Amino acid sequence: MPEEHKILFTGTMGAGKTTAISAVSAVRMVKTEAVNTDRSLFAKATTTVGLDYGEVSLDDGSVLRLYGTPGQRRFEFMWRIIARGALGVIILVDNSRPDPIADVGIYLESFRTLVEAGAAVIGVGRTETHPSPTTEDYYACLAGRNLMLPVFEVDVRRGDDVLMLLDVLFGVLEAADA
Amino acid sequence: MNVPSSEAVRQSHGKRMQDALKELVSRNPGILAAQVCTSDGFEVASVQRDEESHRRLAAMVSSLHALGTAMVHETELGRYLNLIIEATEGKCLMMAIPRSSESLLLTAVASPTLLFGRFHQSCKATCESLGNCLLETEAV
Repeated sequence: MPEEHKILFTGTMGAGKTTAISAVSAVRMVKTEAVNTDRSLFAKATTTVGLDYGEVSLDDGSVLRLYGTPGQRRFEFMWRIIARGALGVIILVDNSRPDPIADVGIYLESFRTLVEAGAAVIGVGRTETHPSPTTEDYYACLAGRNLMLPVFEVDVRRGDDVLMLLDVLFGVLEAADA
Repeated sequence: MNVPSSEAVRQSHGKRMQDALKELVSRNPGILAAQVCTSDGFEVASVQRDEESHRRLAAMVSSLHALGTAMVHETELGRYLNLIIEATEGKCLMMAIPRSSESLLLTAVASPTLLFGRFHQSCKATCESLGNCLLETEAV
């Protein structure tokens, strides 16, 4: 039986969680999207209301089970459910939002156990059109919380960027184990 | 697909939906609460529970509906109809309202004393009534 590891993708609506998993999943993804009826807050046509699920197979035969959380806060109860048994979390940030630093704070708090164990990586998207806040700003935010986590500018439409985030997460986990 | 917001549905159909839910509850004393919500988790009409509880319920129902639909698709069982949760102190039934393109969901909570068959039939009839309500407004 191959080893399996559960990895979470979380972040605000529109940060790219579903896109990220879709970009790397070796199996047909499970998506639980509904039509977004509240366009006043988010312009997206659809929103994840349950969870996303995909898989990545590693060279050693083990399998990464990728779970995407719904982004909107009224689905916070799902974050707790989906987080059970997770090895690590990738927090995706949309740098085009009004206050991405505050956004990341929500997820640092909500996934505190994983974050404080260092089992987290932050991926910041849309930096090509919205260069601020910078990665230095995110590091300053983390330092203010006594946290040291890797932060990367990414485009989650590119599979390589998503794989890089997973690779870094595993590197961090291995270093913590050593 | 252009699906109206919960506020738009509330304004156009809210009163009739509220009346349909009140009738469901009054005709079935074992039904403790009932709600219509959008598939993305916003409440449209509700009877019997407090506001905060209704909001949480709407979000949960939306997740369950989405997961149920994904499971129906995964197991190639055709089209999602409803989801049942049975517990020691009662049961819940969640149904997609017809003629809403699965954008509206009915949820009812019942005590253990209400027989499941009656619960199911009553909810199904209310769903039909709610679906007709949407049609009639479109026809105007």
